[in-house]
Amino acid sequence: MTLAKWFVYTVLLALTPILMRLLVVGLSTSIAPIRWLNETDVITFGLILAITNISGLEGDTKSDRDWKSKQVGVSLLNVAAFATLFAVSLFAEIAPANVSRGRLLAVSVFLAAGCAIHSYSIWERLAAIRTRSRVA
Amino acid sequence: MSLAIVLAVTGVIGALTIGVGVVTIVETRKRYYHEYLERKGRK
Repeated sequence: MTLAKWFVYTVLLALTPILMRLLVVGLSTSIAPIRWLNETDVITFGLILAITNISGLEGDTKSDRDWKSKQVGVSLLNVAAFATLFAVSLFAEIAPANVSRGRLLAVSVFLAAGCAIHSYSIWERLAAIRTRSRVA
Repeated sequence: MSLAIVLAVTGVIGALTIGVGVVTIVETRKRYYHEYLERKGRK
């Protein structure tokens, strides 16, 4: 998968819940109680990126094994973090008084941004390795 | 106290992820793109 494909098939599709929410907020009247950014959408974005990293690394046979292990390890750590945050977001719906949604959103946005940088670095490397083996 | 724990855990995971990502980007650009551009004769 090239970087352009990664952007379209992974990043854009992972961003779909956020973009569709913005569309819904744009179409709603000002009295409708809809938040323009929901923590669940951001968590889903990060989770999709982390899982796609693992899938891409597993399918690759040309890169360094140590490097792959490190990237899979970090991606698994992210999957665990996003899965936990997702569970917390469900608790926030069940018992709103027990969870700070502002903190949850801030943590989710920070981790999702980090995951996006990490995912870009992995797919850039995989694309470069593929280009090198094609040229050689 | 709880905010400190949140910041610590998020900071460790986020910093590790961003750090590994940035190191990978720099390494890739140094190693692979340099070779690629040399082969293509652009450099």
